[in-house]
Amino acid sequence: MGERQNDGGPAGRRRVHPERGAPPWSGGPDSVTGGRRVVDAADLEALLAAALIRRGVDAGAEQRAVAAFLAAREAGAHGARTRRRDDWRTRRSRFGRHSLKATLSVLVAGLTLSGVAVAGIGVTDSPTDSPAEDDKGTHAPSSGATGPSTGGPSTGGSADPDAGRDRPDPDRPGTARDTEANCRAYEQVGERGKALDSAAWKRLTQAAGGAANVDAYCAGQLAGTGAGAPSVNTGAPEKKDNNSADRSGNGSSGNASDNATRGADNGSGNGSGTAGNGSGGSADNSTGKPGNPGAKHP
Amino acid sequence: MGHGGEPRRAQAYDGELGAAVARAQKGDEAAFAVAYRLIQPGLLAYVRGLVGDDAEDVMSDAWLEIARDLGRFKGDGAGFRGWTATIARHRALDHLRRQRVRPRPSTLEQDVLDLPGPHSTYDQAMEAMSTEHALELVGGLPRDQAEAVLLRVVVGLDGPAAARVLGKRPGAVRTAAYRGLKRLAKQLGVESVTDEASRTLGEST
Repeated sequence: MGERQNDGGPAGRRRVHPERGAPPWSGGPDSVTGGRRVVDAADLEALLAAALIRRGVDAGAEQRAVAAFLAAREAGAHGARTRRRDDWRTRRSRFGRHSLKATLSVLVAGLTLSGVAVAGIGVTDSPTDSPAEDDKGTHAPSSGATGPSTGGPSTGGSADPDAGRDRPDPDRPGTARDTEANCRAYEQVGERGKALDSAAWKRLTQAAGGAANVDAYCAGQLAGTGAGAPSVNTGAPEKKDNNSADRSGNGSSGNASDNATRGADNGSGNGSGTAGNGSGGSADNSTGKPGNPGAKHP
Repeated sequence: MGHGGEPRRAQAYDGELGAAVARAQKGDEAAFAVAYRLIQPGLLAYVRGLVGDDAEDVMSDAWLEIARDLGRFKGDGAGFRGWTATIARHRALDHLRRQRVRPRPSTLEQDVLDLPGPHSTYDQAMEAMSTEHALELVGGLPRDQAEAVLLRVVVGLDGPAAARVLGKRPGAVRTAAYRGLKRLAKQLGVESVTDEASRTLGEST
């Protein structure tokens, strides 16, 4: 202990000492026995290496290894493919470190893109849904229109059963509405790429028999549904007639008979009621009264 | 010369080794013999730390595999040390599995206790540092520390290469080597630069 203090202590450094050269252990442990008693890790490693490694090789063992090498060379084994565990190039470790980063970034990018893709599906689906709701909406007013118009004219009454016949049919209106909605969505979305990838678009394309035919197919479908949707058409003529009645009522106040005939023809109490403001009340009342009860009790 | 530095022993002949391996891969058996002589002592010391006296037999098997698969190898001299160490380790573990014996006899711990203790002088420790003594010292370490120390000290692998041979994280292998060397230094009664506890020993008088 005292020796140690004398030798290494005063320097205040447990580390070694420049005067002891780079290979302190190369000559064996003896070369340091007279030196410092304080070693650093590298010295300890060199000491262990010197003690553990026996220099020189067994000639017989070397001959056997070389013979195995020659045999493998003759057998053509040295052309074998490099497996992953045989690749010890240093670039590989760097590549491995990068590949971790790359894997993570690819993962993040994949998640982001998949999110975009899901959002894209949502975009293409939402127009598909909204026209369907619009479709219901067009039906709903018609059913609402049937309420007032039930009491009204025979045309309204005849039109409503048509609409009523349309809706209970379970299959056809569904697919038709889908196709219609898809066509509308196609018109709205246009040529945007993601929309064309969606399942709805594929269905539409299949139904049309090819992407090129979609325009024509949709035109036909929309025209068909436009003609086939009676509620819209039946609702509109009523309003037109009412307006014409209003206009006629307002315009020609003296033409009470004309009003009366029109009111009687149309049987719309509303139109004649508003027309009654402009023209004589007697004619309006006389036509309106039969009209209204007729509307309530057909 | 810090802890994490490349083992200096290894760097001395890596260029020569790499060239010899490259020539051997082209079919030069003399170059293969050169590579054998360069690498066999360190590998044998490592395998001896694993299997003891059977190390020569195990290394014979390992060299058969090395000679057969040499064409598959890609890398330089340092890589060749790592690649051959992996093969040698697998053969050693196979050997241990066949023998169903532990890599070190359990009596080693007892032997370590009989070694010169911390109170003996450094000179005594150094003079007593035979190969057997060093093997016993290393054999007294926990398995992971012993292997990390051997791969670093006698095979000359750096941290990442040793980690790849052992199939562990580089940090774990570095820590194991550090602890193993620290423990060896303590058993040798020498003061290690990294050993804070031994400082009191040096200043005790």
